[in-house]
Amino acid sequence: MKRKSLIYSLFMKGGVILILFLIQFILPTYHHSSFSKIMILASYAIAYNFLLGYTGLMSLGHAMFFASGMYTMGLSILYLGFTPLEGLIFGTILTLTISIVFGLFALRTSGVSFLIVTLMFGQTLYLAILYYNEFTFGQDGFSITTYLGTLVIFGKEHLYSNPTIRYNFALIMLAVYLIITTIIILSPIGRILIAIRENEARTQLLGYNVFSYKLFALTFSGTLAGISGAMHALLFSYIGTTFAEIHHSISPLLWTLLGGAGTVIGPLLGTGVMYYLIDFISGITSNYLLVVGIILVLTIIWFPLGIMGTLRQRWIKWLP
Amino acid sequence: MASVEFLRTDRLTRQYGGLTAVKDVNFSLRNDRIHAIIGPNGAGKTTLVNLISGREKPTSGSIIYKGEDISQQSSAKRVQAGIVYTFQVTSIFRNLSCYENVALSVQRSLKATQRKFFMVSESVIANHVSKSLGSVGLSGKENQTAGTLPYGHQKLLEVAMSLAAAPELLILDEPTQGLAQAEIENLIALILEITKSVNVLLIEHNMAVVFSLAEYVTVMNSGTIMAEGTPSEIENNHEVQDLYLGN
Repeated sequence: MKRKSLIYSLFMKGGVILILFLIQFILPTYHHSSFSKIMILASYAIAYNFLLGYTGLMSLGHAMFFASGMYTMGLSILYLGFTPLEGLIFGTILTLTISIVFGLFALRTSGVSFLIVTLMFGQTLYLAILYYNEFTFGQDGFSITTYLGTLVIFGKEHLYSNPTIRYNFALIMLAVYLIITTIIILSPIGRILIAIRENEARTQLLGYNVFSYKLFALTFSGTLAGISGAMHALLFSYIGTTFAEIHHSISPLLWTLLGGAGTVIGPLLGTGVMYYLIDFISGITSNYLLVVGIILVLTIIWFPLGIMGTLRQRWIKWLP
Repeated sequence: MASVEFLRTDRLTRQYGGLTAVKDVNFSLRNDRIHAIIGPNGAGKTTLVNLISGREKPTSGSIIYKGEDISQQSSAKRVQAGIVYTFQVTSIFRNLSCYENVALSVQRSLKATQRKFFMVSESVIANHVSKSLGSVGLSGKENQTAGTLPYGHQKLLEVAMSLAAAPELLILDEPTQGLAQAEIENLIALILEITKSVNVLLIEHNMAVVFSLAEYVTVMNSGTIMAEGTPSEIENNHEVQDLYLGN
């Protein structure tokens, strides 16, 4: 049963990845670049959903992880002369460390208190970036285009901002995120995380050290979010405080809820729908957030489990 | 089987503010008999087993399990050591299938007994799950969502989860509460079957169940142990009669 589930869902993910790979050849330039952006943001949402959808922990501080990956990448390239790969590794290690330390504090709380603690930690990083503006360039942010150099593939040099490079890097990251999370969710560890989401007290009394599993989920989610941030810095070569703001912590929550928390493909769908929704409505009215808000409320009424969550409940039971 | 005392409490006390729910209790469990705790509501029965299972920490006193003081161990550690608690109000994963419910318990106990660092393979888990479900009479219910089972079956599922945890001491907190007479008889048969390999500590209101199962009875009242003995000794104990008949 389990194995069938895994094979089905890996097939489905494979299909989605294949479609995304193929449509890059027919997408008009504008949508091509939108898709690149969506795929990076979606991988951030997938990281977020790992914590919310599968472990049941709602965070309002994920921008902290995203921004620490992003700033580590940017600042280490800018000041230390790191190559992008070194920056990525450094960013990953740093976000991993931050996630563990943060988890050790934040996971002493749960529910609403956890929400508040994550929010406060997130704001702390945001304010720290502003405070040390001589070093971080504060609100203006900075660009690393001139420091990046080129990427050599088959002896040919490419810029990181090259649309094809950008699209396929984003796609590779998305694919890796989708596959890794699917495998973990359908493994025995995933079963324990879902159990914690469903009934934490009972999980503890089945003999599991719930705290360490929650710490694992938070660390994994935080680190993936950090890598998304680092890749965002690399592919769009802009680093700024908008990615550390509370707004950027709420976004993955909304994408996940719209697409379906606790489904692997939901965050991708939610991110894409929301991105195009905002894109479309902001072309009509400057008050686009109001319209987006109304659409969100209606979605929650009609699709309380998100788009994929509702699909799973009604039709496709095996969907992970 | 040689008679061995494997769990004892030493002046165990639990206070909630001004209320003392369990007071200086010296309680002991031996491995050769089904032990039941009875007593009126508020006597401290559930608090006592909560202390033993680690769901609550004692205010003072200690719990010695197989020669080791476990008073400060987490409840998860105690489950790993074999003390498994089955809830008074069923606590299952209502949104998950019966398979997943039992698998959660199986995969931990298997991992512990096989001393595997990595997780046990799914086919081995599946094998044990169907055995566990079979032992409580829930074969074929693997894919049913646990919350949609009738109440009596949810209780059985809970017992299956506890058994799958490979317990040495199984604490059953009012297992017959809310069950119909026919279900109670099934459960008594099941408990008798379980006790062949596992030590059972039973908390029960239903006297018929107590006297058909227990080989040793502890009577609690107002947080202390009032009387202990075989079922017939307890039946003939005047204090206990007064307590239950309200003379």
